[in-house]
Amino acid sequence: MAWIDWLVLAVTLLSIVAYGIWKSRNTKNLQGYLLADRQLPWYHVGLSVMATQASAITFLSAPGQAYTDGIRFVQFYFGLPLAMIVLCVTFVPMFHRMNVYTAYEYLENRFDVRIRLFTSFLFLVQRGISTGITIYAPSLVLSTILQIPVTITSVMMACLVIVYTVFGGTKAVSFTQLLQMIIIFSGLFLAVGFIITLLPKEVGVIDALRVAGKMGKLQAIDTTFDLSNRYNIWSGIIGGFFLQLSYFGTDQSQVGRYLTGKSIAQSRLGLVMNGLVKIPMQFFILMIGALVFSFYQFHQAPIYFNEVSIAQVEKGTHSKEVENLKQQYKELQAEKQQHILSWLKADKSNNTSFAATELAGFRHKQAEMDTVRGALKALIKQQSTLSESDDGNYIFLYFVMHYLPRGIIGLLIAIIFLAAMGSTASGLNSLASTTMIDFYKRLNPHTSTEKTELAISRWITVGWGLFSMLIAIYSGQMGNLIEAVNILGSLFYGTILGIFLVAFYMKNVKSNAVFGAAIITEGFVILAWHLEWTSFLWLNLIGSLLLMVLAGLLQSFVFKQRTIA
Amino acid sequence: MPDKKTYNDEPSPILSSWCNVYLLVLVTLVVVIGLLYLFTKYFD
Repeated sequence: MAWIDWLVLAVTLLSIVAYGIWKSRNTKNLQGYLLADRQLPWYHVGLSVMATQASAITFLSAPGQAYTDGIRFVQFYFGLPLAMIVLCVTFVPMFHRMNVYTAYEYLENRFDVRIRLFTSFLFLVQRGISTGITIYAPSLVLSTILQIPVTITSVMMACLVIVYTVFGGTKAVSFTQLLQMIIIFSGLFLAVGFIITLLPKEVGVIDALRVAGKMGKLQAIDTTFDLSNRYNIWSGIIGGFFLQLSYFGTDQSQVGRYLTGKSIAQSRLGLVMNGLVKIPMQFFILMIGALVFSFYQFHQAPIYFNEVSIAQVEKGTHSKEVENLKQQYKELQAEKQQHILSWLKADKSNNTSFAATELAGFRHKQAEMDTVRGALKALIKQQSTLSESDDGNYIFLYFVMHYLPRGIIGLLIAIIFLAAMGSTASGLNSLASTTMIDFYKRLNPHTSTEKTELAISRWITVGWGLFSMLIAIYSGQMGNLIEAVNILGSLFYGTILGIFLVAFYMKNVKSNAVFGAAIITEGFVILAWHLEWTSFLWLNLIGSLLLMVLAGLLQSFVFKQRTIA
Repeated sequence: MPDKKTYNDEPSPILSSWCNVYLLVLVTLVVVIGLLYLFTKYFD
C-alpha cells in the first residue's frame, strides 16, 4: 500500500477508537459497561444490531461467494424480517420487563439454575469460536498486504480489538458502530462506482450484469424445494427464520445490543429497522461480488486470488505445472472475452442464432477455465495442508488492491477493520456479560463492589479475547468463513431456541424435562450435521422443534409419572 | 407467553400501532422477494 493508504487507514481506525473511548469515559459500573446504561435511541440500536451481524466476514466472504456461487445467498436472510416481528412481540418486552443483563437470566426464573448455566455454556462455546473467526477475517487482509503469516496478523488484530473492547465497554461498541456503518456504506458505494467506471467503454452496467446473469451469478431466487440445497427460498424463509430467531433472540451478542435501548419501543424500532434494511443491504454486498465477476470477464483474472498461497506452490516442486496452468488460464480467458464481446454485439443486433453460438462458446470456455482452476486448487491442497484451497475470501480484496486508486484502498481496508472491530467487540462484550452475570455473579452473589465488578468484567473480556485469538489462528482451515460461522451457529442455536420457546409457550413443561430434551437434541443435531443428513440451515428448525416435542413427551410420560409415583 | 398487556404498554411512535409497523415489515418482505424474483428472471 502507498503511504496515503496507510494514513487513511490509521486516521480512520484511530479516530473511531478514540471517539468510542471518549463517549464511554463516564462508565463507572456494570450496567454502564455491559448495557450502556440502557439509554440508546432506536437508530443506535438498529445500526448496532446490524453492525454486530455484518462482520468483516460479510465484506470479505459475501462478494467472494457471489463471484463463485452467485447471489443466491441473499435468500438466507428472508426469514429475518419475520424473526424481527416475533422478537418485537415476545422477546423484547419480556427481557425489558425483567430488567435482565443477559437472555439466560430469564431461564432461571422459568426453570432453574441448571438450565440457565447449560444454555449459557452452549452460547459461550459457539460465540467464543465465532468471535475467533471474526478476528481471523481481517487478519487475512493484513497477511496479504504485509506478506507475513496469517498467524502473526491474527495475534496483532486480536490484541488491538482486546484493548479497544476492554476500555470501551458496550457504550464504546455502540457509538463506534454508528460511525462504522456510515463509513462502511460510503466506502462500498465508492467501490461500486469504481467497478462501473473500470468496465470497457462499450460495455454498460446492464451489459455487465447480463454477462453475470448468463453465467448463473444473478439467480437471487431458487424456488425448488430441496432439503440438501443450502440456499433456496424455502430454506431461507423457514430455516432462516429459525436461525435468525435463535441468533437475535438467544445470542447475547445481539440481545445485549437491543437491551441498550432506552425503552421497549426504542428497542423494537431498532429491530424493525434491521428487518427492513437487512435484505437490500445483503443484496447490495452480493451484487458487488457479481459486478467484480463481470469486471473480470473483461480484464485478466488471476487463476487464484490468494497470492501468498500461489507463491508458496510456485516455490515448490510443482512450479512448472503451475506455470503451465496459468498460461492455459490466460489463453482461455482471452478466447472467452472474444466470445463475450461477440455475444453482446449479436444480442444487441438481434442476431439470435449467432448470439446463441457465442453464448455457448463463452460458457464452454468458462467451464474449461474452471477445470484449469480446479487443477491448480488440487495442486495447492497437495503442496501444503496449511495453504487454503479456497480463495473466495480474497477475491474482493484482490480487486481492491490491484484496481482501486490510492487513498481509496486505505479506506476499503479500513472498512474491513471497522466491520471486524464492531462484531468482534460485540462478541467479546457478550462473552464477558454472560461469564460475569450468569456464572461469576450467579455463583458468587455476595462478593464485590461495583468497582471490583467492573475490573473483573474487564479481565474476563481479556480472557475471552485471548481465547478468540487462539481460535483465529486455526480458522484458516475452515474454508468459506461466513458459512463456517453460520454452520457453527446452527449446531447450537436450535437447542437454545427450543429451550426459550418451551419457556415462553409450554408452561406445563418443567426443568427436568427440558434439560433431558436439550441433551438429547444437541447430540442429535451434532450427529445430523456430522452425517450430512441435511443442509445446515434446517438444523435450527429440526433442533428447536425436536426439543419442544421431546420436552413435551418427557414431561407427559416420564417426569409426570415419577411425580405421581 | 408474555402478558398481552405488555405488548401494548408502549404505543408505537409511528404508524399508529405496532400492528401496522409489523404489517409494513411483512409487505416490504413480500415486495423485496417479488422484485428479486423479477430480477432473477430478467437476467436468467
